[in-house]
Amino acid sequence: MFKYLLGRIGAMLLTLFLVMTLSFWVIRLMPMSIFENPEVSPEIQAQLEAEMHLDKPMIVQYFYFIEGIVTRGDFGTSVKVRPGLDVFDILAIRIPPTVVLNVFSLLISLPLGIIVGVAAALQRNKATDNVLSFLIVICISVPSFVFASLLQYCLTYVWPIFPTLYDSQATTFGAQLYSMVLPIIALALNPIATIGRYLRGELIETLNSDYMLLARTKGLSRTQATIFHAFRNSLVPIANTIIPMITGIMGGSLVVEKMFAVPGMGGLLIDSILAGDHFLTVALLIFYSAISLVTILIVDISYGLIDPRIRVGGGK
Amino acid sequence: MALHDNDTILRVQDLSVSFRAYGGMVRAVRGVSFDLRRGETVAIVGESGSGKSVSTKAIMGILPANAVIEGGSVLYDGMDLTRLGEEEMNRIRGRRIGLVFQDPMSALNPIMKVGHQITEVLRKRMNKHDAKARALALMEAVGIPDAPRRFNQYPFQFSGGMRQRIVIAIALAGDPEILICDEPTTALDVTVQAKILDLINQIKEERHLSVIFITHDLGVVAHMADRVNVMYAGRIVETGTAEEIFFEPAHPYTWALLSSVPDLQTHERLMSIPGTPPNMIYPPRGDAFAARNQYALRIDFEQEPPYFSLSDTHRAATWLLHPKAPKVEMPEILRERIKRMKEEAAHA
Amino acid sequence: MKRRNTLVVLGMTALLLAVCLLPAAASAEKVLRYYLTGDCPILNGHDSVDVSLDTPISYCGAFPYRAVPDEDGLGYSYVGDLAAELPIQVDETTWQIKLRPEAKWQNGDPINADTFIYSYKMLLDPVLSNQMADFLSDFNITIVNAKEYSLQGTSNTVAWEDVGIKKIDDYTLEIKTTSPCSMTSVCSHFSQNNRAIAPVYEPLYEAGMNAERTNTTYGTTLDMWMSCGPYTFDTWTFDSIQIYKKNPDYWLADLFHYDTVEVRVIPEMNARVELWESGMLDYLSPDANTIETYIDDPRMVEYPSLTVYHIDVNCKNPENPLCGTVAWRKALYHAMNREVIAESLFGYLEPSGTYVNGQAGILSENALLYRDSEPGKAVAELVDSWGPYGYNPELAREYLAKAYEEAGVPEDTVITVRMAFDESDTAWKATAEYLMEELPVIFEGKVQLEIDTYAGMSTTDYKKTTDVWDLSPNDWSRSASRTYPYTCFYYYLSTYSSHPNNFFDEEFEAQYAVCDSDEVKSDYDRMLEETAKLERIYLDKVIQIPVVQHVNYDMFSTRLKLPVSTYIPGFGWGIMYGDIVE
Repeated sequence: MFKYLLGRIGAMLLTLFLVMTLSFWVIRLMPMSIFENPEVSPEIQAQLEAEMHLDKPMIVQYFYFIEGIVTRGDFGTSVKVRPGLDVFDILAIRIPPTVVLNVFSLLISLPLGIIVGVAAALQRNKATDNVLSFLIVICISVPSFVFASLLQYCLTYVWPIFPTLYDSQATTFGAQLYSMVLPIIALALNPIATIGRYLRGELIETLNSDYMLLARTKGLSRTQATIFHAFRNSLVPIANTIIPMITGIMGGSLVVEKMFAVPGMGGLLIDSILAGDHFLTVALLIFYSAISLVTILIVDISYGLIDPRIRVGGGK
Repeated sequence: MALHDNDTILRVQDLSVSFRAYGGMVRAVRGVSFDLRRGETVAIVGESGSGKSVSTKAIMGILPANAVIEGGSVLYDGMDLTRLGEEEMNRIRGRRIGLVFQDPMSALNPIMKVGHQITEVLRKRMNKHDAKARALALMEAVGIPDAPRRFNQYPFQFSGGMRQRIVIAIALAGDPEILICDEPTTALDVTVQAKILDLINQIKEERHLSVIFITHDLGVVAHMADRVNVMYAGRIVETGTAEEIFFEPAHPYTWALLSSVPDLQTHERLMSIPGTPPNMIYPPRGDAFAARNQYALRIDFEQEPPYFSLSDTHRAATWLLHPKAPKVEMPEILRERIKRMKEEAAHA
Repeated sequence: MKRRNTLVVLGMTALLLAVCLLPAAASAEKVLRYYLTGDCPILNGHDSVDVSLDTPISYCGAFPYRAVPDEDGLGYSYVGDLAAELPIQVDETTWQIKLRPEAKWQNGDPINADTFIYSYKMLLDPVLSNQMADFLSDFNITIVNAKEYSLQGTSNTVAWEDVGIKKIDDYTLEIKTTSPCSMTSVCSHFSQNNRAIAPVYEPLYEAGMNAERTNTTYGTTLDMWMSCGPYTFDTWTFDSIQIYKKNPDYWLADLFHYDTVEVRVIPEMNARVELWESGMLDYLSPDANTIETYIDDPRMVEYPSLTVYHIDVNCKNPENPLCGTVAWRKALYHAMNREVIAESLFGYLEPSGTYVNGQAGILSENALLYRDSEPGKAVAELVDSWGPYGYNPELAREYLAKAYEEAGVPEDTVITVRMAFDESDTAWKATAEYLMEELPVIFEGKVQLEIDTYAGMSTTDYKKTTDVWDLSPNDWSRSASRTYPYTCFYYYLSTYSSHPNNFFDEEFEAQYAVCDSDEVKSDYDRMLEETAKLERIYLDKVIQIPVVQHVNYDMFSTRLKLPVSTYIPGFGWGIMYGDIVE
């Protein structure tokens, strides 16, 4: 297991390096004058570009970039969005709101998705199932920012129950969370539906399995048998949907954060790409890839936790 | 409603079960009746699709959602099991009636430790520690060596035979008085089959169980059953003691079944039954077996035969037993085989 | 089991409600609730061209002079802020600024002549390459040798001693300009109109300096910045909120009435509108899509802007045979139905067939707008003589025929015009779609319009990648045109390296040089005349096509009492001097 983990982490680092290289090139190859502004004299623009080696050939710029990382662990400083700040210092400030937003979306979507899936499976082809399936289709096909603006309009303006914007000055975490309820809901709807849909399908299959019958002949009630036997077996394929779900939430949060003025990673990525702030963009892309890779790793490990056939049999 | 005979522990009366399907109702079980007496093993024998498994599922109350019990009753301990609610059935399943499944590969939850799957039943009545002790005892009782280590293993770490032992242990965990074995050896190797059958016989003796034994293989029944019900197309076509069925079979279907048993010495099958069972969405007129019956009479295609008693315990539903029917003897080859079996029985 | 679940849900809901109702304690504080559409990238006024810096620097910074509203609310005047009194003219081109002895930083450190010398030396530093250096060297006034000093790089040709900024004593600065200028220009140059001018705090500026002295992290965070103005910068949560608290020790504290200023960063228009509607903003600037809703709202006020939206014309498109001829550009000029575009597509803006903006000249000595002057009016009349705001399909067709002739192209050739724009710009997108339908009608099918987008690039970058484009929208404006109307043409000179098109005309450049001469600059009436000549050349050659004069629309909440009774050009609404009356 340890060896396996080590190998996986090594592969992860390699992937990150490739992502880093690729994103550096892609971003730098976009024709973009970072200091472009009619108010700034072209001479100063040229000076600034020279200072940042932007006037050198791309390959030289790349080596400057790699050299900074290897020799100093320096991923560069932002040039446009927060000029002069180390990119990871910027990330450190912006990560917490995004993490709170994404983690809470995930946290509420897991149990809610499971409830939806179990309810739909147990009530298969009855009214509850039909209503839930209809809602699931809507939640899967409509992007999160549409829900976000709908929620924002209904619950902050028509019925002012929640604040319109993220409250960064809240004195308690609870109050802050309260200001994030709407974006959290907007981001969670899609994952809830995704989990619900998969779980419903998987459960219907497992509910018909022999071990479910055996469980019932043991004297377990339908619900008990579903929870103790069918449910965990259905989690194995569900774990697979977690990866696209997390990246989905993160992608949705790019836009939704802007709508609720959450000072997180989403707005930052958009701003930095538009501004041509390439070091910051590369750092952000590395961060996002790292999150995805770690998620994949965690999900792979969790397969073992859920399914002993993989854990115990894996050594062979 | 009370059972007349004190010895009878379970009485199935005129049980009819149908399935809702796209084409209409599939009449899977049509008026099945049999008694299970205390300490006795009743075998139900038939091809797949004959309704034997459906009968047991009806007894256990675990019929799929599209099944309907159209009539009859399952009398047990003063109750009609077909009329019990879900909660009451939960108290009977496992604790009063245990079930051993056909395929131990799929009957066990693949991701749950076997120990837990056994104790799950027990935990309702006792604490964790006692439950574990009890489960270990059960595992030993069903012949699983090194039970404490095995307790924490998963089904995929067990061989087929061992898994079936676990399934039996689960069925026994609730300390039932009736054990239903639904083709318990079908999915197992021949060598393992005998051991499992021995095990079932052994625990039956030890625990004074009454057993309903379901199989398509008459050969297996020989070692197990006190009484045998032969089922065809949802109906019991012949019933009798094991000796009566094996030595004096009366129904052509039973003859066919007996003929298809591989010879224990030569391992050759004498004959197989031509054709397939009828589509029970549209049950045929007359005897359902008539189309495959080489001894079929004209009346077989017109009217379903009633039961003709051959003795107090032996009855068969075939027009051949009608006094006016032509005298038809069982095939010669089968008669010789029965003769040999009788000799063997006498030697033993 | 079920009942317990219900209880848990109820409990959670109650908890949530309690959490949100708790901190609602009201206070009698006067809070201005303002917003920015994007946060300030940095607080170092030297190095960011981002206009969002205006807000924190004008509230929390100080300047030698401060424009304050007059008592009657009809005008404004300059008072000394960090300066003790208005500038003293020593000779025609030399001015002295006497500093206020009690001026100090938020932490109590004194502000004196050394503070300014350090700030300005750093702003102009040849290797720091501060993007705002020009704003000190050449904005309302031009300081001797300042530009030369800042642009010398490492060549060491101009010494700091040669720059026209001198310390006379601890509380006196002397400024030398290249040409005579008015006191208003000097005050304006050294006031909140020019955020680069606010002094920087030396210890932090030095602390943030890198080893090569090419960069400083001054102002990257609140810890790396020092305020000295009417407000202190209390909280800065990036991309979320800026909170300023009144500085009671500030020398002009009586001028300011808010106890707290909350500046939220709200990138989405919808969110801004919702906050405004629920009374949680004191100010809202509606965009082209929301203006319709509010156009009749009594809270809506408007004022003209520096920007004239215009279309740059490519003269070197290899795929357009008419490209490069004057007649072709004239045909396009006359084919713009500016009234429709301004009203319907841009949303209640002013059509404009001329390029010098409606604010040009507002900061001149007698505040005479170029467009209101006789020479300026004459040009507008010329344009209107062609048709409303220059729109005349008849004339357009004539010029097209001429263009065919000039270029020697057969008359039945269909010309495809490629209009490129940023797809996120909805008003221009609508305009392009409108022209796509309109041009074939006007030119009887001879001209077709094709749409292209920058695909995420900036206009300049797009034009670097391809020559195959004909029209590209632009909204560049030059703030210096408030004082010198002709400067709005600056970007179309061959000397401007990032020019937005590739058409240069000697006559035009010569006339610009005339306008830019010290002789003309010092005589405003003359300047207006020369500017009109320049604008006529511009129209004659159709250097680009003016379309819409931007109009700013603003809304203020009823609880906000503005210090002015009308928009004051060059000063604005004076929001920071307002008061909250509940």
